Amino acid sequence: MKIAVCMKQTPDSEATIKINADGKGIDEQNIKWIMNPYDEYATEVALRLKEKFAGSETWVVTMGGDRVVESMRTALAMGIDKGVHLKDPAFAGSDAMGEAKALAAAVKSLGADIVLCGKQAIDWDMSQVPAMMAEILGLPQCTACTFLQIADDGKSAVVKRKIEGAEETYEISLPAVISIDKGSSVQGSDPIQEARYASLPGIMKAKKKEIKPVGLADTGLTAADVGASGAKVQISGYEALPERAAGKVFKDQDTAEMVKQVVKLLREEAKVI
Amino acid sequence: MASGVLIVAEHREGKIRKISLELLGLGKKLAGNLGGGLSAVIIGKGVEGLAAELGKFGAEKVFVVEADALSTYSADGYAAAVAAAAKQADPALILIGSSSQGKDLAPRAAAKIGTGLASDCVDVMVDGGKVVCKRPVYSGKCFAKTVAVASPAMASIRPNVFPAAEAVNAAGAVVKVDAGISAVKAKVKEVHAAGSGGVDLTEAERIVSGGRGMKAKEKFKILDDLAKVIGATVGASRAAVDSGYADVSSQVGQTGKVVNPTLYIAFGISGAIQHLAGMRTSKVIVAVNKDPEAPIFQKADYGIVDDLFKVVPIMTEELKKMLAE
Repeated sequence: MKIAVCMKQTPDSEATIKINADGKGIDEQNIKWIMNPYDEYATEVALRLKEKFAGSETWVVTMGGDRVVESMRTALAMGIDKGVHLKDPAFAGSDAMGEAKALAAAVKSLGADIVLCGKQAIDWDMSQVPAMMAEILGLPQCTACTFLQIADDGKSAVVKRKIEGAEETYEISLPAVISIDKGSSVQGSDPIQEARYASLPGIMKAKKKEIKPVGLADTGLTAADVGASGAKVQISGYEALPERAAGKVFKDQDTAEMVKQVVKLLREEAKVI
Repeated sequence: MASGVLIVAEHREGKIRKISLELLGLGKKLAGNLGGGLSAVIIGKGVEGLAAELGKFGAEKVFVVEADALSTYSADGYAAAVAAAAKQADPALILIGSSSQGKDLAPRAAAKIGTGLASDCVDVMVDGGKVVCKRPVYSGKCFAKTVAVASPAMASIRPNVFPAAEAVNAAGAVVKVDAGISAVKAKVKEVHAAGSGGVDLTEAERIVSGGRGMKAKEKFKILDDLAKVIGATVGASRAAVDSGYADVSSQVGQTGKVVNPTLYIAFGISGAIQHLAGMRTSKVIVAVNKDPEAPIFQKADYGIVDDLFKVVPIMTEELKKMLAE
């Protein structure tokens, strides 16, 4: 089975985000960059599938500049076989559609049977790229998938996803695009809460694994498809959150007294009860 | 010339979902700014009867896309249906809910139409004739504003942010659209109810949430009692879920659900960044924690530094008394 994991590098969720003085960008100087945590789960899923389907090949596919290579090496260290690095100045400033087009072109040329993504990237929290890729490739999709069971012949799968108060089940044929949520069950496993750590031997092996650079020309796309010029949605600026006014914190009083005061405030001041 | 707003209605078990009414309310306002009318599209099989409700809440035209292949939800089928309706409606802006279905559908529909999408928006404005969307980014640490440069603009709207449209008691004109959809790639086969029933966290007006301080699964029962009194949904922090005190479906936070209630009461939750990412837009936050240094007290409107197990029963009683007045 050919398994492609689309991975994005994002700022660490603990990172302090500072908006630039002109309000048009964020300060990328002191940010720690990591593999998007949901893409880590997707990588874990890929590796479990590799273990179950003998003779599988796995790839990590990422778009970005040189700094994304470090996160690609992490995926390789976890056990992914090869990397595909979509690298070209023309890709800079791509919106989700541009990114989806480039990733789709890359996974198509790999002949992937299953394309795995994390359900969202924790920088922009949009959950757009996987579904866009599925439409571009004309494939079935399951986004925010919590259950994946691929048939033994590798030609179809049962997938499930959660909706408000319920769970949907689909039967789909492969190839397909699946975006993975945390706590997914794969091939009958318990919900996966954590991705595996890269072992030291894995890290050593990763240094020698191939990361193939792919430029715009290799994808068959044009400059109008990708980058800032191809973007259909443009970032016009960033805004800080409104600061919440300091609240009233009660302590060192009788419990019942404090509770009564808060309940009274909820009605009379906040007017929410 | 593209004009007006088209909203994508969402329905379940024969009923229009509330998010659709929120889209109609927002859509009406924006149609006024953009010029043009407000229309809706409803997709499925045997759904024409729901068009009347959409008309009642402001849709001047209701595009109905029906086919056997659309009898249950499918991202690719519904995306094709949205595209077909958009072709006829020729809107300047398409609005869709950022519900579970909307998150699955909106990007596929955008790709099908060949336009961009602003996801999970908390505000939409028209500036100089262009559609500008505001949405939380970086786990809710700041907002980003995006402008649509392709037409139609498309935005998915976070539930429970905009008020539902008022009833106008007009009948929308039904326009049947034959999208020529005969087969789809991934269609819902079964839907099983899951979770505790009641209002989903993402749509709840009031939430009572427990953290690691709850110490045990059984202890969450006291939050159920409090929630019942004020009609709230019960949530949990990741720490509580990881410790096995609550189900992952009740997890609020960056890797759980993003909520936007009028009232959020947090018990035994320290207030880690990732938890705040899921609930910081709550209108009123109440925090109860033994630890006076808990970061959540920085964000709470009202806080009580005390043992939650002493506080919860008293609060339940006091709220019961107050609501009975």
